[in-house]
Order: sequence, then C-alpha cells, then structure tokens
Amino acid sequence: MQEPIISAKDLWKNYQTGKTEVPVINGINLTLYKGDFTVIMGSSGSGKSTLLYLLSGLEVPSSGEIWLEDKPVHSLDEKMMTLIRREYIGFVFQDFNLVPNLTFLENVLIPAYLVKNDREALQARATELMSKMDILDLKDRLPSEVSGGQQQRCSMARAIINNPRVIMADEPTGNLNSSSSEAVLDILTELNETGQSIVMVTHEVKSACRANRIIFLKDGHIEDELNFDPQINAEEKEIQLLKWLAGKDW
Amino acid sequence: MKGILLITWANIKRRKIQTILVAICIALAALLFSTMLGIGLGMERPFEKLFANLKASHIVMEFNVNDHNPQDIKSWFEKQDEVESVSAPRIQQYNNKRFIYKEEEFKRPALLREHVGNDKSNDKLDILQGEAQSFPGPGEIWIPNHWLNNFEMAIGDTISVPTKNGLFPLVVSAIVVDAHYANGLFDPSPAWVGPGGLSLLYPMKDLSRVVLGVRLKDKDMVDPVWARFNEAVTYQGFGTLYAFFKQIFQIVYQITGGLLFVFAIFGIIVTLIITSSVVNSAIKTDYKMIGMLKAQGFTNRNIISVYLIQFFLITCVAVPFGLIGGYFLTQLVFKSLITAIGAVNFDISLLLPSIGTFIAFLIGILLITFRTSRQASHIQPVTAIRNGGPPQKSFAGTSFKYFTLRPKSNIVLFLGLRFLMSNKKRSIFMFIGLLFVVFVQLLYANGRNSLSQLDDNRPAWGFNDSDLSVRQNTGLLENQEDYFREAMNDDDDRVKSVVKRGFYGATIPAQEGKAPETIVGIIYDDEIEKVGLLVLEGRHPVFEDEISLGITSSKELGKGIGDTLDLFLEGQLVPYMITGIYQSLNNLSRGFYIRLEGITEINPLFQLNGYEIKLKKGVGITEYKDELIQNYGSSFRVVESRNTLGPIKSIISGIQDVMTLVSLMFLGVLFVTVFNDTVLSIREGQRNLGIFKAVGFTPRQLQQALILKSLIIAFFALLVGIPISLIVIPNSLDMLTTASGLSQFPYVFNLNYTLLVIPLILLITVGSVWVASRRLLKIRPRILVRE
Ligand SMILES: Nc1ncnc2c1ncn2[C@@H]1O[C@H](COP(=O)(O)OP(=O)(O)OP(=O)(O)O)[C@@H](O)[C@H]1O
Ligand SMILES: [Mg+2]
Repeated sequence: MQEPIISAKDLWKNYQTGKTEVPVINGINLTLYKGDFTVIMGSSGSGKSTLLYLLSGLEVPSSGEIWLEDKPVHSLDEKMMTLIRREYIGFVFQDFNLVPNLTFLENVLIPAYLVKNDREALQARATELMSKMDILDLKDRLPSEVSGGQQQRCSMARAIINNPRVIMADEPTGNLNSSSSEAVLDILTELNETGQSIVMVTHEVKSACRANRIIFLKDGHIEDELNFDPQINAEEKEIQLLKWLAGKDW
Repeated sequence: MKGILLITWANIKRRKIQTILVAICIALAALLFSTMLGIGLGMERPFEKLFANLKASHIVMEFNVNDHNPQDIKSWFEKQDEVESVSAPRIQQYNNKRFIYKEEEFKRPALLREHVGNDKSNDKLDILQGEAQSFPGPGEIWIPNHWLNNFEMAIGDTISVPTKNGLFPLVVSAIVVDAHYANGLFDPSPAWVGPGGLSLLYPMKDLSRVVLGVRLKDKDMVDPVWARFNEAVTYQGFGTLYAFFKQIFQIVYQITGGLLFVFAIFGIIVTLIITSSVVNSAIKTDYKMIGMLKAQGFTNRNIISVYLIQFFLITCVAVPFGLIGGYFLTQLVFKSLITAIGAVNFDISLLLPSIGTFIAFLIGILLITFRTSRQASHIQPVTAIRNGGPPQKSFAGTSFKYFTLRPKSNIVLFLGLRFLMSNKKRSIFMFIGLLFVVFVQLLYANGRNSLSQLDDNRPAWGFNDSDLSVRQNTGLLENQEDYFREAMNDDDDRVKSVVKRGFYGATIPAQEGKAPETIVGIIYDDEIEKVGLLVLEGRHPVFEDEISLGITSSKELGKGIGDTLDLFLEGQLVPYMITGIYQSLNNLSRGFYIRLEGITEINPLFQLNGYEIKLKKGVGITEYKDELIQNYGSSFRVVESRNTLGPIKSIISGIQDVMTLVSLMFLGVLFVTVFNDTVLSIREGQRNLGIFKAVGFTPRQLQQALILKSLIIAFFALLVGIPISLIVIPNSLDMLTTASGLSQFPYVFNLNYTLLVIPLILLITVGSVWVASRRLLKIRPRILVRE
C-alpha cells in the first residue's frame, strides 16, 4: 500500500495577462506517493513548471486543494507555507538560482540555518553532502566562478540539506551537458534508492527513465500516465517510454 | 534615435516608483532652491519699490530748531546736484508718556509727527485704509499699519495722546505705510497729524524738533552727500541714512534667506545623491540588457543617452512642481513682512528664480547622470550576458566575520549585512543623505529652541534681563526719585538690584571720508552687569572715561578694545576708552554703553529717567509691579521687561515657522531617501530575494533584513552626524546672524530635543523601509525567480 505525500484536488490556475485571464492548469487531480520518483513531461507551455510550483506552495492556486500529507497548503498564508516548505520541499531549478554573492558553502547552509538546529552538525552535514557531490573543494567559490554542472550539484546539496520529504526539480539537467546531466541524475537516483521522494520535470527521455512513474501534461491537464514495471531494465524502460510518447507532442 | 526613445520610455514605465521618487526629491530640492533664490533676489524689491513709490528720503535728519535753522539746511541740500528733493521741515513731538488706546497703554513708545501732505515732493504715506487725503484733518491721526499687530484698531477709533493738560483724543482717520519705519522695528514709531496739528496739543517750547528728509537721485550717492554736508555744517542732530533703513527692513530676510540657502544646498546634494544612486542601480539591474544592447550594436553614447533623456524628462516634469511649492513658500516668508508693512501689493516676480532653478537643476542632474551612467561603458557584453549581472566579490576568508555565514550567525542580521554590502556605493550615498537629514533636524531642534528662549536668554541677545522696567514720568518732585530708589535698594529685601538708565544720542565725528554718524547709547549709573548685559570681549565701563561699543559700530568705526573713541557731546569732543565690545539685536549692535558719570562730567544737568529692577528669586513679578503702581501712582510707569520684545518676537516666530517647514521637508527627504534605497535594494536583489523565499525565508524575515540594513546606516549616520552637527551648528548660526549684529548666535543646546532626533530618525527609517518593502515582498517567488 503506497502512502500519499502530496495530493492535488481539482487544481486550477489562471494567469492574468493584460485584461484577459489565461488558464494554465485546468482541474488537475493528482496524488504523489512516498518513495516515488515521479517525472512530469509535456510540451513547452503545457504547465509543467506551474504545476510544480503549485505543488511546492511557491505559487497559489486559483482554486482547488493541495495537501502536503495532512496539511492544507492551499489555505495557508505565506508565512505558514514557508515554514512547511522548509520541512517538506527541496527545490532544484533549471538555472540553478544560487545566490550570486554567497559562496557555495553559504548557499548550501542558508536554508539549513533557517531551521533551528544544531549548527555545528549542519556544518558537518553540508561538508559531507558537498564532498558526496564532489564540490567540497569549491566551497569558498562564488557561483559565477564555477561550471554549470558544479552549480547544479551545489543547488542539489542546498535542496536536500534539510532532509525534505520531497525534492522537486524543474528540468535540473536542462542547462547541462550530458556528463554533467548524468552526474546530477545519478545523485537523484541514489537519493531515491534510499527512500527519497522526487518529482522532476524533464523533456529528455533518458532522464525520464530514472522515474518509476510518468505523468504527461497537455494544455494544463493530465493527458496520460505511465507506471513502469519495477522489474524491467533501463533499455526496456526507454523503449516502453518512447512507444508511450509516440503521437504525444513533447 | 527612435530605439533610444523606446528604451527610455520603457524604463520610465517599468520603474514607476523609482521615477516618482526621484521626481519627488527633485521637486523638494527645487522648492527649497527656488525659495532661496526668490528671497535672495526679491529681498530688496519690496523695500526698493516702497521707497520709490513713496519717494522716501535717503537721508532723514532730526534736529533741534535752536541748533540749526531748518531753512538753511534745506537750501544747502537743494543746492547739491545729487539731490532730487528736500521735504519741508516737519515738526515732531516725543515725550516719554505712552499713548492710550481703549484704556490700555501702548507697550512701545510712539511719537507724533506732522505730515505736510501726500502731494508734496517726498516722504509720502501710503494710505491702506481710510479716505485718500493729502494729510490728516484737525483732530485726526494717521497710524502706521504695524500698530495693528498690537491692537485691533480701526478707522474711527480714538487714541488718547498724553499732553501737559491731560489726555487729548485723536480720531484715527487712516492706516498708512511709511517707507522708513514700515516693519515697526524702530522705536519710537511715528504716527501723523496734519500741518499745525501739534501746536494745538503742545506749547510752542515743546515743539523744537523737526524732521527733514532729503531724497537723492541715486541711492549710491548717500555717503558722499552726507559727508559733504557734515564738512560744511557742524551738525548736531540725528541723521539716519538709507542703508540703515534698508538693513532694518531686510534683517528677517537675511536670516531666513541664509537658512534656506543652507537647506537648499543640502536639498540639492541629497537630490543628486538620489539621482546618482538611481542611475547606478538602474545600470546594475540593466546589466544584462545593456550587454545585449551593446551586442546588438548600441554604442556607449547611445546607452548613456538613454539615461540622460530619462532624467531630462523627469527633471522637466518635477521642477515645475517644486517651483509651485517654492512660490507658496516664498509668499509665506514674505507674508510675515508684508503683513507688517501692510497689504501693499508686491508682485514678487518669481520668473528669475524659476528660470535659475530650472537651469541649475537641469545642469546638475544631467551632469550627475552622465557621470554615473558612464559606468555602462565598462560593461563587457560577454560577461554581462553570461553573469546576468556585475561580477561579484567573495567575502570568503575576510577578516570581518559578520559578513560570512558561521554557526553563530544570526541569519537575518547576516542577510541585512549582505544587503548593506551588495551595493556599497549606494549604502554610502544613503549614509551621506542621512547625515544631512540629521544635521537639519538637529539644527531645527536646537536652533528653534534657541530662538524660543529669547525671553529667558535676553542677555545673550543683548537685552537686559531685568524683571521690571520703570520709567519716570515728567513732573516728579526732585527727591521723590531718590526715595524710590532707596526704598527698593535698602528697605526692600525682595529686590536684588536696581540700575538706573537712560538713552543718549551722540555723534561720532567724521573721519577718513566717512560722514559723521549719530548713534544712540544707553547710560547706566551702576554696574551694567547687574542687569545681565554681557560683553563679547573685554568688560563694560566702570569709570567715567570708558565706553563699551556694539560690535557693528565697532566694525564700522574700525575700533576695538583699548582704542580711544571721540564722541561729540554737547558741542564738544570727548574721548572715551573702549573697554568692551558687546552684541545686541537692539539697533543691530549699533550703539554704546557709558556710565552716568561719563555724561554728567560734560553735562551736569543730564538725568536718567528709567530703572531696571531685578527681583530676587521667587518674588512675584506681577505682584511687585502692581504694588509699585499702587505706591507711586502715575509718577512712574512700570512694565514687565519681558513684554517689551514684541516686534522682535514676531520676526523670530516667522523664522521659526520657516524652520519648522524645512525640518518637515527634510523628514520627507529622509523618508524618500530610505524608501528609494529599499526599492533599489529589492529591485537589484529581486532574483536573490526570490531564491531566498524559495529556500525558506519568510517575507517577514526578508523585510527584517532590509530594515536592519537601513537601521545600520541610520545608526552610523546618527553616530557620525550628531557630534559633527553639534560642533558645526553653533558656528553656522553665528555666521547667519552676524549680519544682524549678533556675531555669537545665542545658542541654547537642548539635550532632550537633541535626543529626540534619534528615535525620530530611526522610526522614520524603519517606517519607510517597512512601507517600501511591504508591497514588493508580496511578489510571488516564482515571478522573482523568473525575472
Ligand atoms: N506569470 C505568468 N503570467 C502569465 N502567464 C504565465 C506566467 N507564468 C507562466 N505563464 C504561462 O503559463 C503557461 C505554462 O507555463 P509553464 O512555465 O508552466 O510551462 P512549462 O510547461 O514549464 O513550459 P517549458 O517546458 O517551456 O518550461 C505558459 O503558456 C506561460 O506562458
Ligand atoms: Mg518550465
């Protein structure tokens, strides 16, 4: 029996552009489960990022409900939401979004220090994470002084330092070359294998194969969903996914 | 060109708050600047205009007909080429008794002068209310407009004039303005009766003094003509010259204009600082865009002109608003005087100040924009596009631990410090801006306090600090006077000291091309210090051959302590040794103090007719006054000394009003400066703020960090600004009032008001950041991150 961690009920989101309201998310019902590696796919502009932001509480829905376990995110104010997000969500962005005038180490520590905890232990954990991601020797560098892949690994360290229930990654490999991408995906897979729930948006079939569940968005609603058989290997996964994607615009 | 205009317009629209803020600052500074220019340039105009309209005399002489024949003097002047016209001799009567209106005595002395007619060549009177006649009819009196400040008089009222035969009623038939005594700062001030009117009131022997006015074709010829006259005639009367009338008239404007000048300069500096930091920040935020524009073929000049056009437009829109405000402020400043002169319609032309302000601001702002926007030339397209912003500096390994994140760091303080350091230039600009605000507020707190202490601090302003001022009315028995004095000195233990005093006019003989001058001194029969009169240097006279001199007189005569001053008294030249220099608002520090023996030596018949009484602590002044009045009846006139400073107080309250206004404006400047800085911080750090929100900062924490940043700057501005201001303020006030004869401004430091400035500035700073950040922090993190 799978345990739900995030669920969305009849989720709607409109954006105001000029005088007209543009619907972006149109009545999505979705439940994400603990320990899953879920991938969201879909064509550009289909609302993938918006859905991710909504699920993480960074964006407020126009209507509908979002539950993080038993917490009604949709009815919380920004402060409460922020406090819950610290505990539940670690976010990884396509363009890294590290704070440019903070060092690598500081970027990783900032969210950790926001939560009242043993700071010395956090420092140790940050060091450990950074060494695991192979960026420890860059800890005093500024983001502008390192490569994109290194930046993304730093931002992943930042995302997991607080042990969030879910890691949300919006095209984490979108700006990276293939070897850097592999490294990032390996880290995510490794985390998932230790029980970490992950939601990732991606365009790439290869990246998507890391997941056990694929959700396909079209024009703001869920068009299709694919659950991999846990027994099959990577190549079989890729073939199955390509078949499934055939005829879909992505 | 079209491309540049498009980008400019987009910039203005995208940064509405910025644009409005800069516009407000420019408008505020333009307001101050134009007011300062308006007062500076317009200061002379009301006076000059009034003088010309009324064909006022540049030389006003008052003498005894027993000393000189008026016709002789008149014809001497008429023979001079420079003279336009000489008035008919006008009789004047002055005795010590006060006029009475509605059973109340006038607080200040007045005299009666015959007005020979408005159809005559010079010294006309401008009739503000009443029938336009050439001169007052029999039984009528024309009163000066400034009397209305003391009494609510109206046409048809009766004023009782004391004569030998008792009070004589005169009916007010006109309220007039006289060019010489327009603001009521002269004592005694004249009221007018018709030709021959005085001989109905007084016996012939009391009507020996006449006034003769000489109007010149050119006001610059006053000194040579007056000098020539004194060479030709051994003149024994008083002569008051154009420059003195003008100075008395302008004293308020000199002080107010000077103050506004300082404030206007501050305002301009703050405006330029804000402009500069806005341009600087715009370039930081536009870093990527500038890089891209460059990559697309924009030259540095193109990019600089985007900012130049932008600020040109803002200046063009903002300055007119400031000019409108300046117009009202100038009116307000002039009004205090215009009401004193009367509703004379001075069309204060603000055209020149407005054009001046406009040009000054345009040049200043475009220069600073140009200077600041030249930074854009250093932007390399590639780094700009790759970094998305200016290169960052690391704090790793710096010795200042608060700038690096450590286990002990307070996360909000850390963020605040990073905000502080993220644009150091802007933080320094804000610091400088706040320094000026601190200065102005302290100047206001202590300057205003000093002004309001006039009554309790009279010695510093050059007035005595007696409690009661007693004047002997004529017709007193010889020894009654001594009895009065002894009664108080020896028998009355409520009296601390009594000093007897009187006025004496003396002539300073001509010297080195300078015309002789009549100055009025005060004669004391005891130690002057007993009634609190101070010296700036040296000491007041103790012996009969000593004199202390007002600082203005001392400067004009070029004489200081130890020098000998020859005075013309009773037809003979008497040498006095200068022992002290003092300052006084009275006659703008023109005058002298001599001991009674110094005069009686020459004129044994001279008598003092006033007493200054200082009571012991705790003795009720009013009760004592009532008792004196009861005991001595009408032979003495007793007033409370603090009531005698009326017109000076009204002038001072005008200056206080201007200071209040400016102080409030600078609180506005403070708000705008901090608001602007916060908005810039948020915009420059928009993306970072979005990231901070995404990683778990609450809006409140971000707001606190921004508040902390501004508080740190405000704290340092106070830390540095308060000591500097407290040293600089007294000196600058001295400079401001030197022209008015006070070379040491009577500065009274007030600790409470000074301390009050600290929470006031901190509070406004916090409030401003709070308001500025409230709106912006509402932005969803997604939008911030996406930018
Ligand atoms: N702030 C906004 N205002 C108006 N429209 C918006 C806003 N943010 C997103 N949109 C619109 O919502 C739609 C979905 O955007 P979203 O970023 O979720 O797409 P996406 O699926 O992530 O696309 P991509 O694969 O290109 O990242 C798009 O059409 C976009 O233009
Ligand atoms: Mg997206």
